[in-house]
Amino acid sequence: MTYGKDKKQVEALQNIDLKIESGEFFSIVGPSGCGKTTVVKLIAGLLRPTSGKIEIDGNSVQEARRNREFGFVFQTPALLPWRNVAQNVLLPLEVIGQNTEPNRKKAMDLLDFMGLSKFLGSYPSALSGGMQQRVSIARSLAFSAKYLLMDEPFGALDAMTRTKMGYELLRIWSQVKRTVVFVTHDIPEAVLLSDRIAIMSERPGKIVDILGVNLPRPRSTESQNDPSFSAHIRTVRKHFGLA
Amino acid sequence: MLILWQFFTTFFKVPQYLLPSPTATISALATKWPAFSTELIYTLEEIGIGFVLGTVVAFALAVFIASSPLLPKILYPVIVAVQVIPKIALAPVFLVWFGYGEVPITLITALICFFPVLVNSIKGLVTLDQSIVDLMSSLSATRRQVFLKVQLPNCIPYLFASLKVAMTFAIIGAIVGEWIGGSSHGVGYLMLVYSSNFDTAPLFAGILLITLVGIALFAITALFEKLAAPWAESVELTFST
Repeated sequence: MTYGKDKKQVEALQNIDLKIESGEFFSIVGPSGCGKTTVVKLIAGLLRPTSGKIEIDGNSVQEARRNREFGFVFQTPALLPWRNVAQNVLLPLEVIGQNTEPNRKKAMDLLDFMGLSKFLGSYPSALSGGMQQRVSIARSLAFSAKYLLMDEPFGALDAMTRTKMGYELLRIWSQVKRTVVFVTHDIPEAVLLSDRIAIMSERPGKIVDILGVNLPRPRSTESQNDPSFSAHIRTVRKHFGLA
Repeated sequence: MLILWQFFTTFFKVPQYLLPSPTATISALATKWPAFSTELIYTLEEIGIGFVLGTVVAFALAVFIASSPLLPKILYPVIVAVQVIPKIALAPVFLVWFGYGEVPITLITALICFFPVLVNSIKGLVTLDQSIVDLMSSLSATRRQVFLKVQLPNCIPYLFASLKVAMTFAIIGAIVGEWIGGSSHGVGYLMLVYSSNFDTAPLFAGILLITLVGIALFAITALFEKLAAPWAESVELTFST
């Protein structure tokens, strides 16, 4: 994907030029309000760039969106309160007209893998924030989307739940192997999860550096003790004047 | 409160024609039951038809307005402004247009039910969680899918909350309609007759009867709400009489 664009009268983004490889875990890190969300929304075709171009495997984002190639996870779980867990996870299949028995079975297996099978009949309001976000992630993976776009998915969770969810995401990702674009302002989280990290600055949002993370996979709690883990964090922090 | 009321009326020997005791009221309801039950049918009919008419038209109009992205923005302030007009004040106009009898009374009842349902249904259809809207759009959902899977269920708690309000309004509409509509039927009419005869105990019995009917109808609506929206917490309403 290559693009560079701005938005509305205010120039929100400038010279965003990046190429995300298929199957990679790509994070975008930056301070609040730097336009990270705008970038993922542009990729998903939820916003249109005023200038510049985004290509998904040679197609326009609108084509990719019509082909239902994007699974989206928002900062809020965005679950439909009138649907129980199972119904929420099946929503994309219904919308794209693929609510078939084998697909439902796959979705249920995924819920099982994510430890949600006990809550199939629960309404979202009965679940904790972490559980709700888990359901939201399951929903984004429950259909054949190639790309998983995550906009600060753990931003509303407490620190402990957040760390657990990070490992949980790695575990799921190693199974489903999708291209992930992950937005966060949490530097250690980005380092732990990603193959590469784009570092953004504020107003207008610009990509100041792209950093490869060469921590060995599979990553676990052990990865945090790896000296290169803290080295990577320091490198990112320097860009924000924090180290 | 009933005990206080009973005590007050007996102890101070309040004349029956001013304030009948609770026991006198209840016994009046029993003795006048044949008259009340006959007239109650008329009143319930006005409430029922008026309520259904007013709410169905209001909801249909709300769906139409909410189906366009611009209409709610343009019309909502107008509708809220119109709400300030006390609908019951339009009753004399309805008499001019539709004559006397049950028709204008039913229409007044319908009108009074109309606005709370219209305003709150529009609100329920357009007040969506932006992330859910984005989610549907990231899936290239059609407008029909967004309406059926998001807007409509989102509206149900608003709709039922407004139906509860409309139901209590409908009773006011029917009774007041009977008073000013020169009706010769209905509980409201009967109360006027008792009132002009200083027959206060049955008059109070009428108030009691209407209150009980109100509680029952409200409870039925609330029950339907529980069945239709088991997930819902209460929503904030916009309404005025």
